[in-house]
Amino acid sequence: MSATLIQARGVTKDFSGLRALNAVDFDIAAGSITAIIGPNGAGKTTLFNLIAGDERPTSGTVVFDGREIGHLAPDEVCRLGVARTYQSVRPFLGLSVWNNVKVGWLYGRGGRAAGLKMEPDLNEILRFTRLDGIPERRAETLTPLERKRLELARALATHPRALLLDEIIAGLTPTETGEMMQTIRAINARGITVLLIEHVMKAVMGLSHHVIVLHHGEKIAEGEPEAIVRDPGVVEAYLGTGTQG
Amino acid sequence: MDGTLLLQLTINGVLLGGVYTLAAFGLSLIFGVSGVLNLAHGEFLMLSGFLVFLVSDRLGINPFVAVALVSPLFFAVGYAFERLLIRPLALRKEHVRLASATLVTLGAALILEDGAAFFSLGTEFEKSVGYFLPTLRLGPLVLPSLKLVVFGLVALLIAGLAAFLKYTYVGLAVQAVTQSPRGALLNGVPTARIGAVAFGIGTFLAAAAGGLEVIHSYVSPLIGLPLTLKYLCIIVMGGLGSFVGVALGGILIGLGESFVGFLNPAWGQTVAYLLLVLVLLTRPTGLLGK
Amino acid sequence: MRRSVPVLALGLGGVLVAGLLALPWLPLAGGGYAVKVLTLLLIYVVLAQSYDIVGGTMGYVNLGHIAFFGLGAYACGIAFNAGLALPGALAAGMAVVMAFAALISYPFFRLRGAYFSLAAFGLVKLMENVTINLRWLTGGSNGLKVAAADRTLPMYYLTLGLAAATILAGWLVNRSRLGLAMKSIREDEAVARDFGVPTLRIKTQALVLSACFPALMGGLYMWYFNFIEPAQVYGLKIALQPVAMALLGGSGLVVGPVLGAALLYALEEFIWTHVEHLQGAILGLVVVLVGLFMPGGVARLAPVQRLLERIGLREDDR
Repeated sequence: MSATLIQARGVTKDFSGLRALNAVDFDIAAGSITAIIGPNGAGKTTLFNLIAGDERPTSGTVVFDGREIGHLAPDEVCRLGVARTYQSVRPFLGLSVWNNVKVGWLYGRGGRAAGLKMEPDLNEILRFTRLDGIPERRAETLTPLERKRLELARALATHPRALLLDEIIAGLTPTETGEMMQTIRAINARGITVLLIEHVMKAVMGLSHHVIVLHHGEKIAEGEPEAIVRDPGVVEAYLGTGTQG
Repeated sequence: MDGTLLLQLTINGVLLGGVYTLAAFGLSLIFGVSGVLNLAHGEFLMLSGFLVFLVSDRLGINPFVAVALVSPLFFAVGYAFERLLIRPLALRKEHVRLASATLVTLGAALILEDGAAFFSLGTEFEKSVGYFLPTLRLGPLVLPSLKLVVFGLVALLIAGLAAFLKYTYVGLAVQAVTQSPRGALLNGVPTARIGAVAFGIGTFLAAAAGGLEVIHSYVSPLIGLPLTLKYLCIIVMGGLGSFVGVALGGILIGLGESFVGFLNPAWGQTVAYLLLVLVLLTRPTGLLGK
Repeated sequence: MRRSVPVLALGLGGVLVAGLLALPWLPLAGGGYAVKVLTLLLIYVVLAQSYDIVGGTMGYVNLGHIAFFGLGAYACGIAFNAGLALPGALAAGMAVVMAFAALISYPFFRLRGAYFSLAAFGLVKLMENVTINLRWLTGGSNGLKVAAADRTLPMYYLTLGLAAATILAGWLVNRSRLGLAMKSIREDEAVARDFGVPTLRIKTQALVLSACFPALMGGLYMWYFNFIEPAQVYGLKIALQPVAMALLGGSGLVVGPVLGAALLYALEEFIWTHVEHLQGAILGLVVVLVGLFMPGGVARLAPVQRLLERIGLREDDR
């Protein structure tokens, strides 16, 4: 039942002498929630950048829905169905909430391309991310949590098939964490494949079907959350599992 | 073109480029730390040149000594300039900051240029220190000895700058802020003050260049903006943030002007822009830029 | 203070509307000098407004914008001398400039921020030199001449129309999908790309659009003044003036460049006629103050915003 949506084979990325990723292989099943964990500097965001098209792999292939995307520009990859959020949270600060989401809708995969009507669709997305009361507010006036929700809304507006979330839970209170986890589950329930980079173990354990562990640019473990947490190699590489969540 | 001519043009070009490089370094330092392209940079060069002229002409002081006396004053000028006009812009969004800094430094340049023209009673007023050294001859080559001395001093100052950047706390802090303002801040570097210091040093270098310029060439109230634009070409072409790039850019433009000026004087003054556009079209972040 | 604002606003709004409506009739009122002054102001409006399409809405400070003006002027002049009537010459000029803009778009838009601005400025300088050196085509530094005639009246009306068209274009772009894409590029270009915005295509469209108006203006300028030379149409001052005007008035707002053009022009006229010395320095001082205290331009000052709101001209740049 689970077709492979994203496939990586031998993905390597070098940055002038520094090898960020080394021959990484994995398969992401469509409709799954996969967590990518590992210590800082392990290459997780670089992996996201490669999938989203912000970087090109030095060697190896990235295949999305049967199509090689390693050489494609970011906007082309978005139109194929990949959307993302950022570790440093980057909404279009000078634009309103509504316009932020509208950009995704107009230029993404679904929305305009799918012949949907914009206003009802955007309203629904804003309601879903609980931003429906403030469409005219400039993004720079939003709280950090609201900005994260805005990033989600913007990503959802592109009608993606895969959503890449980069440390979206970081910095949230326990209550907010719970809410965000619920939102992510709801997104996944709509059929969107989710990849999350996370340090917060509560989220990793509570959300993911599958976990990939990176360390120094290499995949050192892969499997179900419960198994990963007990893997001695993972524990050794990634001390700190006990302090979060 | 025979070998002698080639060599002569090359020597001229390198000497020319050397002086450009000194002032361009100052501008590059300022940009690296504050992120601002100081359009008033050339005006400080011009003012320093005038001051050196006045000091050596009216007070009878040796011009090179005058340069040594006048240039350090401009450290304070640059420091104050940053605190008053540039620091307030720091927190603005990037494209707003770029536009604001353009306006502020351009306005300052206009004020300084017009002021200099007014106080020197005209824009055609060229000042030059008449300093004579015997011309050296190396076989068929003419070595303009004054320009050689100036080049030597420039090289000395640049070496001093390099050493400063590498071996002093302030110098290392400057490098740190250039590479990563946030990283530097997180490591306890007083970035705001370093910004002012960088401006001071950069302006000091421009002043030194101006003093040397009035010795081997001349200054006039109007040279500021065209020179600033040339320095901008140098540092952008070399790659913002790379000091070696600046030296490379400076020498290249010096050589370019020397050769092109000889072949077709009409194009001489556009060499800087031509090289800039050509380089950027092939390497969008400059020769050695990040 | 609050109570007097509505009255003040209505009054000002009324004056504004009356003034705008009166513009077409101005020549009939016999103000020959006023017509010339206004024509010059309208030229600045066209340049500043069209600059701001790329400079304000999209955030790329195009210091080379004047290249379109100069090229349009020369192309039109050459076509005019070759026998084309004005409409044909203008069309030829516009076609040349639009093609030029499309051509430089790909290489220049690989550059960002200060790199882009400086390279664009460098382009103007280069064009000045190419123009000087192509003596057989452009008359070199002796300039280009077209058949002389007094064209004051038609020039006024044509420029008025062009200014209105430029402002309208700016307004329409701001509200359009293209405008939203341009704004997203201004806010965060890398992220815009990640969300499907075809940035190079958008940037090219914006640049070509912004080039149309100065191209036509250049052609009309050539036709009206009968004579142009490279330093005049590619000079440092005329290159920076539209930028300063847009920034002074409020870059990114439709009303900004118009306001800035009017203010800076009025200021310059005042200084030239009332101040004896240090004219450049005073102008410089104004520029510094604007840069320091009005980063958003005059139009974004709170009292001005309130005024604009009252007369219905307040716009959304979100």
